[in-house]
Amino acid sequence: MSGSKGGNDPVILATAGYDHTIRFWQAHTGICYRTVQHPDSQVNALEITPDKQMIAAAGYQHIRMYDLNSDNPNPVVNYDGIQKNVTSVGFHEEGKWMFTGGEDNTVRIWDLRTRSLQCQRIFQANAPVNCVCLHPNQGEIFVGDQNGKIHIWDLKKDSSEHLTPEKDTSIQSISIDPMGTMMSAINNKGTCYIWTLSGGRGTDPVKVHLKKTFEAHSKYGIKCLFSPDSTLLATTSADQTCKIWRTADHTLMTELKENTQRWVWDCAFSGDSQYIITASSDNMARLWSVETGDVKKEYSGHQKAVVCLAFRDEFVQ
Amino acid sequence: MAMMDNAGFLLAHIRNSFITSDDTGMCELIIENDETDRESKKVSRLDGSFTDSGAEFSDHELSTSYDILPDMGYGHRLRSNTAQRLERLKKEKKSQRKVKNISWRDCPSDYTAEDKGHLFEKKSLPYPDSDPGELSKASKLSQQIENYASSGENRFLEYAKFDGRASVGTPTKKIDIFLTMCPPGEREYPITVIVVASAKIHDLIGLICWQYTNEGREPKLNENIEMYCLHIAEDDGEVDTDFPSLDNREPVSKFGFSKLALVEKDIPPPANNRSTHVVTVYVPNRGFNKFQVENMNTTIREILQRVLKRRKVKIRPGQQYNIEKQSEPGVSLELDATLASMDTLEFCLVRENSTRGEFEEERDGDVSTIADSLTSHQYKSYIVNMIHRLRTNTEVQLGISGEKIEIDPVGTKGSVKFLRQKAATYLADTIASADIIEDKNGKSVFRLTYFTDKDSYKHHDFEADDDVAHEIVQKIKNILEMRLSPVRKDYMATKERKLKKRESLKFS
Repeated sequence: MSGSKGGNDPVILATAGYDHTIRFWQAHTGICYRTVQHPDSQVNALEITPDKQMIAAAGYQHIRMYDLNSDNPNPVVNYDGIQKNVTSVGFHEEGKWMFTGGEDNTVRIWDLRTRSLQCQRIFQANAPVNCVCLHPNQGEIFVGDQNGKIHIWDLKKDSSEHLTPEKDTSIQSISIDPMGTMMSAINNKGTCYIWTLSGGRGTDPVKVHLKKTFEAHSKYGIKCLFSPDSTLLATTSADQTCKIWRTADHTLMTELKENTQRWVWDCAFSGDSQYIITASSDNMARLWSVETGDVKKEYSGHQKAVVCLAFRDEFVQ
Repeated sequence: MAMMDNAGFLLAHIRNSFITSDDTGMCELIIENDETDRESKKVSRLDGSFTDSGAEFSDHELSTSYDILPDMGYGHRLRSNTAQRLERLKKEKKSQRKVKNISWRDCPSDYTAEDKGHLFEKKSLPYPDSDPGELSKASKLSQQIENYASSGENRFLEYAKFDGRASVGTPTKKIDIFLTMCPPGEREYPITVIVVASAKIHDLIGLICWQYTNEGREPKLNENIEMYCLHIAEDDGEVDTDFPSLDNREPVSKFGFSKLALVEKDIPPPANNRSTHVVTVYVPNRGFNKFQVENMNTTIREILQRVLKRRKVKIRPGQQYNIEKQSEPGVSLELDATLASMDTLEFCLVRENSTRGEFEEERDGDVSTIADSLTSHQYKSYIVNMIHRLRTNTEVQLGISGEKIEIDPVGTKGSVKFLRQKAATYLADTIASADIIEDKNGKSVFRLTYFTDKDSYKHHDFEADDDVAHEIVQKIKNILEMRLSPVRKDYMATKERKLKKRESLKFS
């Protein structure tokens, strides 16, 4: 088993956290086939580029890009020149630009292609940014900040709107389903909101209509994520569980609990929404069956808390 | 002087003295590593072990020694520290040079929708119900999981994380492992294992088993990795059994061996073939005797001799004994025939010209065996030859009593001092077993197994005349049976288990 597996294995799973390493796993066996050092800071967020060539690790005052298809232990590109922790990172689906959100109250667009940096832009949020989510239409960015505001930034028009689901809370995570029909947000109280989205085509801005508010967790909420088939919503929390909700009627389908699991920081669905992978501060990542709630695989190797993961599945023809 | 009751000061002083007096620098390395361990423990002691005179003492013992100042000219030690640091810096700089650094720069021109709007066009999403086919595509991950589950998991998966091939950046060790359980054709070719330096020997064994299983090697390994241990190996793969196996709890980084051998832990096999067959010889009206026979080429004559010896049958002139198959009375067997040619392992001892009904003379034998067991705990000494692997056999006096066994070297005239075996005494409770290992012409080899205080079984081999050896073994066995020591029980239990395992392995 050689180190460079990215090119061979279509399924990519990477985890990172506080032990200064990024680990790459063979998802179906649980074997870690590659470890990369990420010195000097913890990794706050991981994201695989749309072309599956590189993975971005957002840390303290920098974003490092590592090559997925080689053994290169060093980052290929290091983006810096920013202050404080970068909490969120994502990509335009064609790789034109990268977006990041950070504790410096900004959301930035990094131009990945043109040398003239045509795409470089900044959005000021007035409070530390916890999460950034790009609408599937690639034209609008949703930002959740610590003041409880959700900003909707129309990139073309360069205008923004905002809404505050609840005062004196902090928006921890925002997710939009792949069809662009629903948006979800979870806050530090564990309250989860679901909006239906309309518009967003052509020059129409996206419009949000609050559909449901419910107490997803009794403790601090951390992440929310729609499944690829839009039928499920996963929420993770400091209550050491990850819950799977049916989006049709907002009922709880499965609770992913395990004795040793601690705070669940991140999650990702498999392509067919049958499995979900979680990252927890008990140093482990786990693969669960969505329906039964059983742990199918454990990914153990990190020496400290795992706070983020990146996963890419493929479809069988 | 005021600090002499300060344990911390004394310890620091001792450590510093070690470092300064050691020219090789090893002490410094060891003590530095030790220091980081102690640092982590220090925090928990804050609540109060202030039993010394209260004199202040700082944490950084190494740098605030009272007679060593940091910038004194202890050339080589300082250099080694800085040299290491410089090397690390150089490495970091090198790796940083390869990395492209892009700092955030604001776009030179302000954004206007007219100029740059095209860069941020919205994509038209398909309507939700237009393509339901997308949702039913099977995921590659699900497929992989199913396939993997059906092919069966590697039992040693938990040790896969010690594979150094996955870790770039962490120190690893590359070791060639010779697999002694492989058939002779494969045994010369070791498998190369790269293990993270922080792993323990126990984890390394697990990793070897995992890699072995992954590569699909045969024969399949025992699930319990406690059955295996690592020995130092020569370059050609020969296992060095002079040294004990590597301690499972030691970190791999401690050892510098490039070649090791994975050995199955077992009672070391005797010189000849291991397969054991049990032959039963019935003696009419006198019960039976069972013998362990190594190979099926043993002749009937040998069986006959063993029975006669075991039963202490005195062969009077004109008498002769025969062996018959238990199932076929009256048919004497050819003395030169081998067990292999027999279809049974059950025989009968018969005196020539008598049927199985007449055996009065043997009563002496019986009485003597009872008498033996009663007197086994009485002290009796024997002169036997002690067998050493590296030395020539030495004559020793073996004194056996119900309490202990003593081994006293018998000094012969020309014996060189270092060849002489040291006198040793073993308490009867530490003896695990005594067994006959080999029966050669007229002489037998027997093994005395004992339990050392280091939690392992060791043994001494002795050679003596057949009857003497058997007598000794019987005597010790009687003593052990009467004493019922825990060591003996443990040993028998382990043997049972191993026999059972061997049995089950044979049939798997």
